[in-house]
Amino acid sequence: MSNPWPTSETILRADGIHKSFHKGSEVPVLRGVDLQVARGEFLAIVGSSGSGKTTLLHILGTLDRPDQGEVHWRGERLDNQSTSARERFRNKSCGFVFQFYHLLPELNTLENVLVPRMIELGPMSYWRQKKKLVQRATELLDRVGLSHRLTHRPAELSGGEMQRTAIARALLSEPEILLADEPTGNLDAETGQSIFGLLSELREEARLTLVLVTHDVSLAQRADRTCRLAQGVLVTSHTEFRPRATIFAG
Amino acid sequence: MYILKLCGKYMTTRYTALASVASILLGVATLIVVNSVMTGFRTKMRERLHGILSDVVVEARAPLTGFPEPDYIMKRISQSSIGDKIAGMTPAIETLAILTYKPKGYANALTRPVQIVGIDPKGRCEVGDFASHLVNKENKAQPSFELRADALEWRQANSDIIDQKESWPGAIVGYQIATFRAQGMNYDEYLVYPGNEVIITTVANGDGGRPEPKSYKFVVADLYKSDMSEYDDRYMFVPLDALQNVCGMQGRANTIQIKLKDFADAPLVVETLRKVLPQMVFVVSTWEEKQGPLIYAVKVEAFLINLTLFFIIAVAGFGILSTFAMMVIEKTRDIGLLKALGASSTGITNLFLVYGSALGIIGAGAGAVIGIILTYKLNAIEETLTELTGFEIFPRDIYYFDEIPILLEPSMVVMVVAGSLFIAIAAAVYPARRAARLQPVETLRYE
Repeated sequence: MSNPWPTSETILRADGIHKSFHKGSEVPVLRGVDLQVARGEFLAIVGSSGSGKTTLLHILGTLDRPDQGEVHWRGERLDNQSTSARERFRNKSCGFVFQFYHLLPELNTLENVLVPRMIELGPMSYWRQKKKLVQRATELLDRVGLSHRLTHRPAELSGGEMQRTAIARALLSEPEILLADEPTGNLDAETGQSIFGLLSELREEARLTLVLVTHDVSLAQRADRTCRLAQGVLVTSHTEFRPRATIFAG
Repeated sequence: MYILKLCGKYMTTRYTALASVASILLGVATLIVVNSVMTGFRTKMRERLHGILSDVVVEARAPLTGFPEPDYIMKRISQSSIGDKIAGMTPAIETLAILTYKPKGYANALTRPVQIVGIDPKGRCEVGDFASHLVNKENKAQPSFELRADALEWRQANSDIIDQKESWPGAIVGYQIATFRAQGMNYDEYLVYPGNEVIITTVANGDGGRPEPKSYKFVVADLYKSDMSEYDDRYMFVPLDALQNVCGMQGRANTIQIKLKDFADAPLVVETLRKVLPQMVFVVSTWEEKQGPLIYAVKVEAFLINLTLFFIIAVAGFGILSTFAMMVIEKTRDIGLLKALGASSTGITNLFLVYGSALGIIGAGAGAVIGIILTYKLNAIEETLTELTGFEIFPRDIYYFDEIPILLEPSMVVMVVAGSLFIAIAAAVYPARRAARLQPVETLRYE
């Protein structure tokens, strides 16, 4: 029997997520978000500015903790794991792509891509595996069309090139899930389309699960499934994965 | 690995941090040079102070009366429990006197106070470094109060101004008593030559122990040059028996100089002698105790200079602290990214601590190398600067050293380097902890 892809196996689940920020008074951002992401699924979360999309993504990626609710990764509770376990999750299982690329200015393109493995490995292990790692990073940069920019620093790259570098960095550790926070938000429409296309292609090549946060509805429509976040609540509550389903509520 | 990688990058790209390195470098180099000079100065001075004093000195509580039978006292000391620790002993009389002499061509005689010491030259050599400070080469080999060829020649040539009828005992006069150097001169002018006659006026024990002034004539046999103005400007040595006669102290002395086989035994020897000898008559002390204030003054001076200079490194430490504090603010986003990619708080702390250590190692290491080179080249540098500026940076006639005394102690270099490293690392702790506490989510949210 062939292995269906995407599958209906839930890889990431959020149950009743609440999150508030305290700026003088309490500002509730998420008011009970339930979400299930299937392995291999391309999920787009849309919503207006300040709707809590990024906060939700940070909670899913263990960059932040919910005030209430639970996050499960492959059936195991993730949000209450130890700090080191959550660091391991971010380093190995999950790749991040940010709106503002967040490349380290002192490092060149190749070195920026290698950062996750530099964090994971000690100096001796890194030096032992360096040849293999550089080869993998070079292949990734070649795949995102930056093989001619290996030794350039971020200051010498365009916005699109920086985002391509950030995508290559996110894929270096061969994560199971990619969390992308407005990856095209800081780019012009044409470059944004190109980056989005690249993400889609890479997802299919690497059989990745992709959760993308955007306010661009036209991009979100190209995802397998789209959810809208409004008033701190995820308006859809579909637990079953439905390819190319676009569900807008409210 | 990212810690080493980023530290390496910060070292080569962040030039503001290099200012901190320069501060540490300067502080360490200066501390090494100054400490080497101070230690060299202190060691030379100790050698010279020790040169005129033996290890342990037994003195009469009443110097003008002294104590009788010094040979018997020395025998008692030899037979005491610390007798085997003694390498040599000699009695002496030390008292104040007025020296009168008439330089050639002067109409009137000159007078000045001196410390006159009656010694047995052979015995004196056994307890201290006496012979090497004598100017006459023959006396250096075999010290004596006999007139040597230079003194006899001078007397021959100046027979008109000397008293040939009687023979007077010889005297060894401090070099600075016998000479002077006028401003702008680069040689010493002699007031008293070996062969000159001088008169000593001192206080002698008169009838019924009543002190009375007494004068006696001596012939200068040699000059004493220890390069310590403290001694060369004050001391005059005469034969012990001659001074005993002058002072009315026949068969007596007022000090016994004791040389030990090992100076480490000095406290035990002093403690024992204080028990063996009646304290009403004798005062027993080591040479260090006798010269305590001077040694202590140099020690205090060295400490104060060290303290002051250490502030340079402390300032460098604050430089690192402020540079790092600014860097944490500037690098907030990068720190957040590293944490988002899985770096731990400990890792972020270590990043800044390793960077601080690297700055410290480079600053202190380079400072140590430069400090050591400067120390060894200090005299050459001083000579070059004196030549270039025409201003004598190290006036030899003030310090009485032929060159700047230097003693580079490896333990001092290690301590200075370790102290600087500690400051550099300590300065990085606060910013490092602050960086580690940053929440990635806060730093990544906004551009």
